[in-house]
Amino acid sequence: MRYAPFIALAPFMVPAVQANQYFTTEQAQKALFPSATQFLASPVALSNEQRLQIEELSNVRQRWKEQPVWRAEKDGAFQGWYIEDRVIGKHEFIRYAVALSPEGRVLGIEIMEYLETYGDQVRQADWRGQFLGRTSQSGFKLGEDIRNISGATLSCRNITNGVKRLLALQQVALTAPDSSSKPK
Amino acid sequence: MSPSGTHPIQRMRPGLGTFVEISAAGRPPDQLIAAINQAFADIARVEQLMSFHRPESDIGRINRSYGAIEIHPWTARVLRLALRLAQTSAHRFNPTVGGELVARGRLPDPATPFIPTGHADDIRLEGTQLQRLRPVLITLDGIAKGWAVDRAIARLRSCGVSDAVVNAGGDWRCFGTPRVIRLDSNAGCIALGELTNGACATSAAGRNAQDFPAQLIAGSEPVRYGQWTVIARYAWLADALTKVAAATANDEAPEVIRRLGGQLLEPVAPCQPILLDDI
Repeated sequence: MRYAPFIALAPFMVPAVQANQYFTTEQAQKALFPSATQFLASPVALSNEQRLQIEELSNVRQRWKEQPVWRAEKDGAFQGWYIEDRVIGKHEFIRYAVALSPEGRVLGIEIMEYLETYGDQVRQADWRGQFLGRTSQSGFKLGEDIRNISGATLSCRNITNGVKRLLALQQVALTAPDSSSKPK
Repeated sequence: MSPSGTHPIQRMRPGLGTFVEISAAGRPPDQLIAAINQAFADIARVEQLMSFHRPESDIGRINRSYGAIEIHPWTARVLRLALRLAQTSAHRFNPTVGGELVARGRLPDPATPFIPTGHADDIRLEGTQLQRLRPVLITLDGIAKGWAVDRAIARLRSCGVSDAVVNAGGDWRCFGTPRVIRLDSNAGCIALGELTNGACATSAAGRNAQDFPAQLIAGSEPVRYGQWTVIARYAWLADALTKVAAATANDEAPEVIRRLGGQLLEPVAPCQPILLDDI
């Protein structure tokens, strides 16, 4: 282990906002359903009644009417649902994707985008200048530093609740294609 | 760009009660992704074994046990580290404070009789056989998360990754490229220095109701308010030493932490008294 404190320059302020994009939709689909050959966009438009049902089942509010959903298929065979969702925490905004099996099991979760907004976002202009000068001197790139913010305030409870909500949404509003269009 | 010329691959997933981010470089992308997936699987395994919240975990089983039980080698390893640190830190770090955390509503009630806190001597651990000599509740909060980070790092190394960071909600460890240590403070984000092949953890106590209860991990030591950042070779050690720092007087803390194998990074400004603005 080697630690080199920024002594000469003293610890300096860095922007409190960090955005990280991990996946585009296409990449996340591939990561969550690696063997799928196609993804059929089948966005769900929820009625007010369905939204209430979802809330009842999951204890989490379904805030929007439309949910982006894709059907993952491998050579025509249904593999599961790919759903994109977002949650807003106290300090963070998160876009994520969930893969659900036809039976409603969570196959995987991937964070697509994570935006952290810690502390006071509005900074003085001169402060920014100071930062830029010092980064170039200390030789580190903006995207490469580490988020080291007191861990406990970052809770993934929002995601847990989001996934609960999506599982309820599946029960309420998604039907596997095989059993969907039975006449009568 | 990493030294080896390949772009790092970065992934984040929920885990360990927080968000775990893994960034790796130095192999072709498909190998990096495979290595990252394995590292995430190891972290999930640690969580399954050592979460207080899961009744079926080793910790859940231990806390309901009456006689000796068999536990997973990983759990035994972390417990051994925890018990040893309890002894060497004069129980400033104490894995037997689960009862107190339950009593304060921090952890779920295991529905079994328990005492609030105990000592390392209350646990007999031989190989992977564990027995509680008194009904203490074990919690690996404050050490298991760091250890999970260490597992993930070991996995990435064994997969041939040459440059990586694993960050579990602010408890992180890196190898390869030096990484900048950033901290949140009342004044904003601050960069303290660069860390190479090491681990860093930060714990706060008393800043708001959701903060990690460092003071409770330390048992009945006087409650102090502030934020402690510790670097060490291993993430489990950095993680646990923040709790020791929180339970040690300001003037002694740097020396105590140094003796236990870590380095306390001095706060830039003296720790501010509590700001209850977040509640």
